[in-house]
Amino acid sequence: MNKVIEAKNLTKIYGKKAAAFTALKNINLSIYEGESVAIVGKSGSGKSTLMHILALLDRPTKGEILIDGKNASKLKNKELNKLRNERFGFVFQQFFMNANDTVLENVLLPLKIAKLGRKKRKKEALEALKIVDLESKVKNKATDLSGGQKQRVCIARAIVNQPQVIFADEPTGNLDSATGDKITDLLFDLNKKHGVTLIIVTHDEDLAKLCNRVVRISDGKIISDQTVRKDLKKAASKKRETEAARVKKANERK
Amino acid sequence: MKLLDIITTANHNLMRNKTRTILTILAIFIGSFCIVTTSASQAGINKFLDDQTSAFGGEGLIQMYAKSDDNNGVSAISMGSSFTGKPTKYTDGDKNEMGLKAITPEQIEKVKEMPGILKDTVLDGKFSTVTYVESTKNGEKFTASLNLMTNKSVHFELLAGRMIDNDSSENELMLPSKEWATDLGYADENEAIGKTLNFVWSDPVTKELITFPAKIVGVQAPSVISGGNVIINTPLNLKLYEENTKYLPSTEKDKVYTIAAEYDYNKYSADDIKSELDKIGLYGVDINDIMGQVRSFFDIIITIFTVFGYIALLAAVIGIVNTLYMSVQERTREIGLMKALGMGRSKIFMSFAVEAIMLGFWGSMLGTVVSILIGNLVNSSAHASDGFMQNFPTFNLVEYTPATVIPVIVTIMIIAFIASILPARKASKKDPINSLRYE
Ligand SMILES: Nc1ncnc2c1ncn2[C@@H]1O[C@H](COP(=O)(O)OP(=O)(O)O)[C@@H](O)[C@H]1O
Ligand SMILES: [Mg+2]
Repeated sequence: MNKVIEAKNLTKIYGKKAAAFTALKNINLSIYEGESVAIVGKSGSGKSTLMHILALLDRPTKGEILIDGKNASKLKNKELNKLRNERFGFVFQQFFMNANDTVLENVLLPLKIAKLGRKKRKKEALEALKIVDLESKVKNKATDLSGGQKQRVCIARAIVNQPQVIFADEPTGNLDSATGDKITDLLFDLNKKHGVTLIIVTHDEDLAKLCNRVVRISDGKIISDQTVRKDLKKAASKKRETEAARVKKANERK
Repeated sequence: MKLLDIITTANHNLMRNKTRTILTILAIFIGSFCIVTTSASQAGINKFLDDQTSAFGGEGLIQMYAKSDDNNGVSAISMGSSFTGKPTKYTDGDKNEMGLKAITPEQIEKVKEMPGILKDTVLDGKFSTVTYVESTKNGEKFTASLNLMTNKSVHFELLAGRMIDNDSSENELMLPSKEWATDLGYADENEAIGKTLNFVWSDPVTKELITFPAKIVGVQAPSVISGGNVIINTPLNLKLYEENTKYLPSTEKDKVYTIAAEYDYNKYSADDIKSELDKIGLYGVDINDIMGQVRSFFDIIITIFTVFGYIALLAAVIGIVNTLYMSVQERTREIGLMKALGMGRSKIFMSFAVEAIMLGFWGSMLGTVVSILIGNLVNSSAHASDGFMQNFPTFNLVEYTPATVIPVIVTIMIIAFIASILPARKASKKDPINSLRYE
């Protein structure tokens, strides 16, 4: 099975000297194509820190990240930006949207950054909004939406660039359980139907149970790493199909 | 992001905080308005003064007078009173004298040999006077100060007709202004062309009135230097001069009070020539002596306005820096998000820099447009029949050309860009993680 992301001996230290705080200690972790991985732990255990490093949003103090076997620490900022823009999608607990922009503007932002033309990016943003069932809110301002709708917009934004991996940091943390379930369904749908690799940071055990792999961390160390269900093969073959579609689509853009 | 996307996004972001944007643009507007208006009036005044300069004979012409204790040279050139362009009525008994010390033939010879002076251009001016001129249309009499077209390079701005011809055998003249034409009884300047004006000399001994009819060939646009003077051609001048000097002893008769000459202004400065003249007891007056006073007056006004404009711009720059810093602070999270989604540092920098450049653009455009509107209003009201510039129909107080306006706009956009560098750098350096954590 293909390793999408591999972390080797990751250590992250915040601050310096007396104020130094080791948030991650010697983490070794491989994420495989098509997996749904839950990173579980108490608040302050280092979950978000780990996710940020895996997602190339932050650099580790020690150790390295390999993407498709290539060392990401050797890449220039420009290449990292491109990699994130093309391969990753992000969903955050606090949504993070440009409140005064329309739903459509928010969703097509990654494509705007990728220098896609006006028509194409609008078309693809509409497709993404269809998947999250928010076509009717295209022209609304992001502020006018409910929490669940906001998170759906964020999911649409995360999938609009046809990513390989979606990182979700406490995606249901700010939502009531019914709305949270809807978001969860959407994410796992993407994993099962489209073969998108999911990395979900959560302290919610119920959400963790839905993933086929649960990585527990405490005080910056991995204390257990269990693959719960082995239905990966199916997801992986699905992934290969969509990966082929993604490459095709990416070529079309050029 | 594409450049066009960056520009539209920048405009969009500016519209988000309208009050702040408008206040910043207002500051830029005030500064650019002052600067555009000043450079336009500078252009207008320069054009005017250049026209006046060419009426005098332009660069490289020097007039010379004999030094004496009680004159200072400038008095020989009538200024100020001629601004009105209105003729003065003649009442019996008025005198018209020049009161200058004569230049000796030796001095003239020395001038001709002087380094820098173009020998062939030395004109020993015999300037005539007249008791009054009389209209052949309505019989009105006016006093007139006469002047010559001393030099071929002289160019008079004309409202009607043509320049006088010094080689003509006829007596010819140009009227100083439109008012002269109407006061002489003609409907307008065009009707006066080709009509006859009588030059009348009252013989001081016999009291006999001697009349020289002359043809009006042109009407001048008023000008600072030649304005107010009736310009006559050489034949008429010599005839009048003959009468003027009839009773003088032959030694006095050929006396010359002023001479003019051209000098090689590529090699010599006016001051070089003047110090040479000083050695032989003459002093020179060149165009800059006359224009200098006028120019320095305008220069002071222009300097005040320019300084004010730049102070306003400085305030605007502080406004831009402040606006952008606030914007960076407010949009910390947005910047983090954009970076997380793969936007590079240089693009973040650019998006803020473009915002500042847009502020500069809109502010300076507004300043320019308002300045042009007000400027045209001032121009037309100054030229109106009761306006203070009514006698200078060819002179625009403010003159707008792309060459005066575009550099101002571009400069302000560059200044705005420079003002944006610090805040834009701050934005581009923000760490996406910290930005996203920022609450
Ligand atoms: N920028 C930072 N500087 C210093 N300490 C930090 C910083 N970011 C996170 N930490 C600390 O690192 C630890 C792990 O943080 P985080 O990964 O956000 O935890 P979690 O997501 O599991 O709640 C926490 O104790 C937090 O206080
Ligand atoms: Mg966290």
